[in-house]
Amino acid sequence: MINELRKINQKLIQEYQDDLSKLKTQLIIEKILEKDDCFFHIDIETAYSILKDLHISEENIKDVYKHLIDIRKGN
Amino acid sequence: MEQKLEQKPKFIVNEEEYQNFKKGPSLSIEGRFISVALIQSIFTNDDLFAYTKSFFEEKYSSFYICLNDLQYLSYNRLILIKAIEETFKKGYLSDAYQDKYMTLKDMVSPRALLRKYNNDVFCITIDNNKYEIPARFFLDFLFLDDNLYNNVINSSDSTIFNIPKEKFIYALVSFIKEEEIITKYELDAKFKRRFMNLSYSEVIDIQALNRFNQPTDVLHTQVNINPSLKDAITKDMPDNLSLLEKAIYIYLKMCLILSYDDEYLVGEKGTITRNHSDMAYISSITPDNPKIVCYEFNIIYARLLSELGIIFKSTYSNSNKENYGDAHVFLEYRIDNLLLKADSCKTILQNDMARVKMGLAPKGIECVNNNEKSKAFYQNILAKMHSLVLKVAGKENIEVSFARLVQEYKSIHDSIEVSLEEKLDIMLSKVNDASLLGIDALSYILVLKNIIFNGYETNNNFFYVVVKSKLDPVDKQNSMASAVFIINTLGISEDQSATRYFYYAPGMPLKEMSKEELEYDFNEGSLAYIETGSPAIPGINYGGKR
Repeated sequence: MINELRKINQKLIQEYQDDLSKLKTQLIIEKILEKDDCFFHIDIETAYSILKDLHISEENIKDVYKHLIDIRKGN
Repeated sequence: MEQKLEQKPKFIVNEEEYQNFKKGPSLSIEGRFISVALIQSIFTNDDLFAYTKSFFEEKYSSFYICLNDLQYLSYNRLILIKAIEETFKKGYLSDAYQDKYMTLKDMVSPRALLRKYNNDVFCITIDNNKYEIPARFFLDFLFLDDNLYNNVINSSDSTIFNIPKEKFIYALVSFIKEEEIITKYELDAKFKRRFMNLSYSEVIDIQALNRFNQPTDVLHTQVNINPSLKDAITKDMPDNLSLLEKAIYIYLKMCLILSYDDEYLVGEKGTITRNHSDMAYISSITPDNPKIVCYEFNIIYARLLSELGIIFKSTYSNSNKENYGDAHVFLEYRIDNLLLKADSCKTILQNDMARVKMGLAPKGIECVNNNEKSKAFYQNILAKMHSLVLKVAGKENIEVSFARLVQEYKSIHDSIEVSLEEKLDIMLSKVNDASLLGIDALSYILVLKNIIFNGYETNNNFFYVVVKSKLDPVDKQNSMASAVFIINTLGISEDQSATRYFYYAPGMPLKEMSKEELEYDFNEGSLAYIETGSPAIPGINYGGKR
């Protein structure tokens, strides 16, 4: 799931090259997503905001979020 | 007023004088009250002045105005001299006593300090080496002008007066403390500030000197670590690590391999729990039998550190001696100028064994030095070793900069509001999905609780209480740690009839229970609070702390 978010983020970075405000947001998100379990360290409200910025639709946000806070395999 | 006793450093007064000194008008000097009548008497009573002068000349170590052995007034030189000045200022003493005052005043001056220690040599042993340093060096150093002082402190020269810099500063601080210079002499704020900075290791770190020079623990020499455990801990450790890096690496690797035993958390006296108090059991701890408690973690770590030549001390919460298996224990040790404390079970639900497994930074191993540079140096090494250990284990590190990134994101974005109902739904479904067992599962839930609920919600809508459940109602010694979730979207204190209770045993689906069912289980003893100080489950009146 995190890899899919990274792909969306990279696409948005390309798309927002001329919109500095949106580009800045995506560049910060890019850094945040570098950590595999970043969503274990972010409060739910901020996590939802990030998912919205990654164009996850409102009806899917909850399910995507639940997937992101699964304990990793192998732990 | 009676004659003082020359042999004893006391000045005896009668009941009336004592009560006058104690209850009459007084001055407030540095938080102490001191009688105006006493100060006046010092100048009007020749015997008392002679006694005071002798005290200022350090013929007596203390200034005692006594009614008897149990009732007395005592002040240091600086409080006395400040009280005298104040008494003059307020006009309670006539100028006729100025000469006497100046006699006392001179005895607490920096000039008197330099005079007294002009030819003294201060002897001290630091890290098993003896030093003999002229006391004058310390005073000259503290009286240097700003430029020179800062040059010496900040210079790359590793010595002061040809003595290693840290050793010189340690000796200086010891000298000032032992001679009680700060409370005996009127020194300017700069002198005192410099001394305080040096004694708190703010600029030059002396905190570890003279610590952990001799081994004190012995029990670790009597234990055998299972070869498979030792191999799992050390096999991937690079040879080129420094001693500090090795010590931290071993700690983190132990956290990855070992797990806290949840049965021990619930405090029963079953076989497994008894094993944890038995040093012979240590040899059976392996990567496949990894459940341990603080005793075993501590002694295994101690044993591995001893093999690296590191000197340490175990601190037991109920004893000054080594008391294996009886109370919480942690380890303290020194490497070069760093003092470290290792307490993997500092808090059980957020113990380092659970944290490191989840890729979180450890909280139980810490550098206790005050010096910021030392702390930063340690943090860098810790982060480096954390990354290395996680990399070796195929996991990823959560770096410190991450929090800053999130903060930066928050600063340009409003959070999205998430309803309490949605949060509860997410929480309960994740708890049901959790595949971890024992304390690791309870720790995971604690992490979820912290990211899903805010402070208001965890005080009003969502409670999480760890309890012990008896696995076998007949053999009540066999227990496990489990949890009860208490949920009320209206607020627990608002409407208790709307409170819902869920029982969670790690590895099992969540089970909703009525208040009556829970009460029955508590009443029957199949559920119990872990200890009397545990937080109480709202509405359940069986033990726990409200």
